[in-house]
Amino acid sequence: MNNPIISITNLSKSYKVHNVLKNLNWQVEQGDIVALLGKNGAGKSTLLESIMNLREINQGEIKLWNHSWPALSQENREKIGFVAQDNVGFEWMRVQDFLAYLGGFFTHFDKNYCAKIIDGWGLNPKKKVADLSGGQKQILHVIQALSIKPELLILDEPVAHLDPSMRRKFISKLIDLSCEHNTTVIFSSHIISDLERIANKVALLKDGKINSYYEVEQLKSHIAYLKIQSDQPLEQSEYFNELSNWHSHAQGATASILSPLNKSLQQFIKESPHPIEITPMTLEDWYLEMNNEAI
Amino acid sequence: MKQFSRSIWMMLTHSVVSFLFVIAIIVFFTAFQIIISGDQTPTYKVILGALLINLTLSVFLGVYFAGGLQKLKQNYLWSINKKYKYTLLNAFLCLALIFNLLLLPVLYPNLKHMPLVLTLPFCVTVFSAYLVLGNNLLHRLLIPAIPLILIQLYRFNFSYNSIILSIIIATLILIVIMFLGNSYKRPQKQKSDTQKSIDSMNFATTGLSSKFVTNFNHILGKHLSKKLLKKGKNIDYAVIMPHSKLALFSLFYALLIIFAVLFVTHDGEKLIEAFSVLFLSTSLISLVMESRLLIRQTRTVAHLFKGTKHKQLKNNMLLALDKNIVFNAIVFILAILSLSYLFSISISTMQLSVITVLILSFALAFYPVLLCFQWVNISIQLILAICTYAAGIFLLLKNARSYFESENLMWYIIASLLVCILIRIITQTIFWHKPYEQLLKNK
Repeated sequence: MNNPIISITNLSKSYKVHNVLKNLNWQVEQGDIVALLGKNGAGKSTLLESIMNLREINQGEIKLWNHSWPALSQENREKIGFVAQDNVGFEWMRVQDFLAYLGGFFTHFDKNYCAKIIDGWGLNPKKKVADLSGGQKQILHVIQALSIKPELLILDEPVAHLDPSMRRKFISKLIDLSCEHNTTVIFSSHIISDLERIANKVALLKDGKINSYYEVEQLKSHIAYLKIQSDQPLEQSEYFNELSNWHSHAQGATASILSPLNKSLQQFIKESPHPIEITPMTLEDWYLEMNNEAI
Repeated sequence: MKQFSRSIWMMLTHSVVSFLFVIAIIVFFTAFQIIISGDQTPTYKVILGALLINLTLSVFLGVYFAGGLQKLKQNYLWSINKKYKYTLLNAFLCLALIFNLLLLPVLYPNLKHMPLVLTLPFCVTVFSAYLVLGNNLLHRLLIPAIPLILIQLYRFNFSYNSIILSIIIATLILIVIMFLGNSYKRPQKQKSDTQKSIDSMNFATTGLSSKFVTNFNHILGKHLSKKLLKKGKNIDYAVIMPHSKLALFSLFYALLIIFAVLFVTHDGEKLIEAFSVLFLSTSLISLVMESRLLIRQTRTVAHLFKGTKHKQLKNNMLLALDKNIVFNAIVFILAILSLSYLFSISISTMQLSVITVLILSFALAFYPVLLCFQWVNISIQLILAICTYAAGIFLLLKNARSYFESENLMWYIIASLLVCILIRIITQTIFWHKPYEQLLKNK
């Protein structure tokens, strides 16, 4: 790992008797755009809010720029933008007042850049926050986070209330920001199609741990459904031990590739002791397979 | 019967802070009536003054219970199931009756005025419910005004009994309309917990819509926007609503007291003192209750504040609240003094100032602990906290009375302040140690 901006070691967090995060280890590099996936209740918000120091962790260590929260400088603190899942409030303010008020907390708040983004999203700066729709309120908080030109941006389900065109705009803004300022972005989402457009890495939170953390392109080039052909039922041999969901049947077996293999897919097929038929797998299929929820 | 008792419970607890307020205010009102009635039979003017004050509470009860009823009306069963509808209406009327009777105990054995004392508050509660239940603005304004309009009949030489009778008849007609009319309330968009948290306690917990609160604060906010733009970590507007920041409720309470006192000829000073204690102690705490709901708004910027367990952020919040509480108390007492002077009501400035200092000190000492509790509906914690607060103020003021004429008053004040500082150190330490994530869950 070259330059980790976030480094998490043995993080555990529980609510009463429910252990949400269990000895979680994770590192995120500078400039990455990471999509955090997980089922409802998997602990995505808990993890993101723990990174933001909004939750008290039971055990472990979270470091940003190689510093734990108490030792984090004011300068670094102001480089972090955060959008929570249910960001509501300040309903009585106008859009422009809201942005100016929260912007006042950040030294690098760029008023002109902010005005440009507001314009780009088509928000009326004179409008009351209370009069915005659910999606517009979400955008408002995203604008607030983007206006400080953050080096680290943490977004908890930022596109949940957005329509497809707004989501596209949001994605393009995030990509622009990441390119211009080398911003590291971590966002949780259930919309897998967005993930493919925007993220260069995907992390799956399962059973309180980061179960899988891959580069999106690498993952996409490997994942597939396989039909291994034979004239008799096949047991999972050593060659196939990287495959998941192995099911033997009369004409061989079926299985899935859910994580990048040690060799390329073509090479794997070529060297296989049995002929293999491949069916492509989308990231959504992969997500469902990983959570054992495939239909 | 089960449905009936459930409906009653839901109307009572649809907003926990208001329920708390109802209980607190009934205790205070009753105590106040005991004080002013004393051993002697109260005069008609005193009864009228007390009744007028009680009627303000009757209006509040109507609005509060109607707020609960309005929420339950949003279920589709209201429009298709008569049993559901009648159970809710019966529960509403039952609550209105019981709570108004609680307000009017056997303190006024003067039978001559009993019909007035017994019936008027209930009627006012039913009418004022339409401030919330009314289908449109006209209903909301006109229906609650009916008792006021009928009372004006005395100007045309209508007898006291006929006016009371006409108000009772009007109330009965309104109740019949309630049972026969449909008035199904279309459900409002589901509010998230966070959205609920921005509702102001002073308005919205009574059932008045948060839209109204937002609009009101928006108008105020426009005038405050220059301050909003002030650079720096100014957390004030994240934890305080503009109407509280401008001490509007303190002014309103002061006006209410003076207005009530104008109706009595004697005991004006006693009344002002009693009501100042009542309103000052409740209004200062209501500011805190409002702020605890707003703490969630600090989440976006919480990471900018240093210190373990968000100590710097918490200190900023306390400082903002301290300033606000002191400002509200000063505005309140100055308003009382100015209005008393304006209406030539004689009061003891010194006594009132001492009372204010003591209540303010205790409120400042006690409130950090109120920010820490997780209150889901009625909890033992909540009741204990409020009882402790009321008991603290009661003890401070009770002992202060014996020193008013004494030269040791200053020593008593200093000793009280020292005790309050000690309490503040304890409550502030508790607040510092409360995990920030739990403060964000305040409801």
